[in-house]
Amino acid sequence: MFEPVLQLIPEPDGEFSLLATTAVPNLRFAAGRVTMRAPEGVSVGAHVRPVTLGLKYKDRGDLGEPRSVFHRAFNLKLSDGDTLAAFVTLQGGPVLGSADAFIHESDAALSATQFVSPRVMLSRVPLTPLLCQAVVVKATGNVGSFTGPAQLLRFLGIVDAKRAALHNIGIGRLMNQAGFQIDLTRVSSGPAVDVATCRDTVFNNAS
Amino acid sequence: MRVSAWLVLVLLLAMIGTAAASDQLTFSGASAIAVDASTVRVFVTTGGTDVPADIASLCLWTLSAALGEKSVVLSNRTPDGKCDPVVITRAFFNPASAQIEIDVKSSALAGMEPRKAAWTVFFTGSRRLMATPEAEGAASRLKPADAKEDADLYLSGGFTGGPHSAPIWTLDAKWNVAWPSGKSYHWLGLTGGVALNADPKPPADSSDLDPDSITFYAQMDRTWQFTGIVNGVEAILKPVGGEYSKDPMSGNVVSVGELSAYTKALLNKSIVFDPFVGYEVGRNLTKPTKLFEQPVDLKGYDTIARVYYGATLTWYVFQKTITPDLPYRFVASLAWQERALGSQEPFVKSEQVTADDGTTKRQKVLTLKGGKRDYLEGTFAWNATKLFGAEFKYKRGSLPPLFEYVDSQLSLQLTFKAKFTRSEVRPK
Repeated sequence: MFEPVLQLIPEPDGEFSLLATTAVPNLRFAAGRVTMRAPEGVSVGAHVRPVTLGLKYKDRGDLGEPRSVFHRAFNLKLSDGDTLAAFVTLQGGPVLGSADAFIHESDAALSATQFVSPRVMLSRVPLTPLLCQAVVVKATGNVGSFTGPAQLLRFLGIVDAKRAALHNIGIGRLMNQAGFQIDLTRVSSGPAVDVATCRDTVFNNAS
Repeated sequence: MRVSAWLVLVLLLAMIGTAAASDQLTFSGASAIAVDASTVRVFVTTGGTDVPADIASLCLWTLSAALGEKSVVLSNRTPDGKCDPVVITRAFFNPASAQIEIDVKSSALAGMEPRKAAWTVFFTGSRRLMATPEAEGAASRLKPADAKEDADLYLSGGFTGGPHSAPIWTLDAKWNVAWPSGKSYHWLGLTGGVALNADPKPPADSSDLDPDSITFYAQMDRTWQFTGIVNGVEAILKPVGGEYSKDPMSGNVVSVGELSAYTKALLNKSIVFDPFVGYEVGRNLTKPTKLFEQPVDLKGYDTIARVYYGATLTWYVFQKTITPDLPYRFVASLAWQERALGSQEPFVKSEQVTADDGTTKRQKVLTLKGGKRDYLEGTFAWNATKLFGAEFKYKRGSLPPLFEYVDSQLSLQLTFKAKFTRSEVRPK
């Protein structure tokens, strides 16, 4: 799952087109943007041509069956000895899977040999209170004002019921992006709620 | 089970008399998760900053997990009082989360699911501390509401009868149901309020069905959250809604759409600014010939077509010690909205009118015209103390459906609310 199968198709001008097929667990995943750079936090060496295959995730709709999504990129300038490193990322966030294709000359033409790299296969970050705390703080939009788990959410901008509802929505979105489902009706937020209490309700109700 | 009950009792007794300074460490709850096939990590949420030096000692911890009829007690103490660090393998205070993380062997849980278990944690080192599981809320689909405004379901019925008066039945009801459609904040709902003959005064000669007011609408809304200066956007669509009022008589069917933005709390995280824009399109259904005890001509009042826009500016000043039931010292808000009318609609204003006999008196005068109608409301709610509060309110302008103009109305409400703390002095 999330490991792309890469197909490089020569173009008449010597460049390549890339067709990547990625298995995803359900219908909520869809193909997103393709960018010719490595995801944030991932460094690649010389002769490695990175490509990021973005996935989009929508929080509603039927889950359905596992399926494949397709990414295409054109006019790739590759030469003998290059490695094309493809990273599947979720909405610009975590890297869910990757594959490399080694470009080599064969019978006076370039061909590609693909291998899956286990080095960046991060299926899901572990669920910990620290992750939930980071989500709680990030969802306030005031990360720079965070002082510690005992801090009241009022000091992070959750000043009324409307902002508390928006905070809950942000928590749900960020937890979904991290690969978790959460029962938002059990998440405590509001000006008089501290970060630790909110974090614990997130941790205890995420799955 | 009996062993763990005794253990709880002994430790509770041991904790009595232990004075707790404000910065001393306290436990407030515990939960657990399996970190790998052989280890379960228990997270104990703490308060205070004074962490005992012996917190990492593996022999000073006793944990209890309970799930249904099953329960286990986890400790490194052997029956002869010695310490054998086999079950609890690590204890560590994590300052980033202000939690104590305790690793235990998952085999000691006898197959119990650590996420679902209720955890009780005891520390018997230089200080005695205990974390108990939170009480689970009763699994009920209904919970009490404070008032009709707060209620989703409300039903109030009454009967009034007496000699020389026909029986009067009253019914005041509200039904507000919503169900999620994909997300908890995206739903399709139907809300209605009905009051039938809600204000009867005996003696009454008859008790015919006499509706006082009826409102209904279907609603779809969705909210998007952002982390920028705009904290969120809410779209509300009420494809169909209706309103009927007996006094003053009005009735209409309208479709409403509204888009609201909510800013982040600004200026020391105390001020929010929430602009909105929307439309109201529909038809007027009632054309009474007499309103406010005078004849009116509403023949041209058929179409309702309005664009409205406005904003609310709110300033929150918090209590020194914020509690869920009293977070604010005062809240000042200024809400302004304006409606641009696409057709002629009623406008009611008090004017000095001269009667046929030459006497003058103030009277509500209804005219049918287009243009713009604005409404301004300022509120200052002050919680002076926990017992005493005051609310100042200023209103100017007019609101649909009849656009009765309020000219700079100022109101002040003082509230004192308290309960006796000693039940014996409360009158029975």
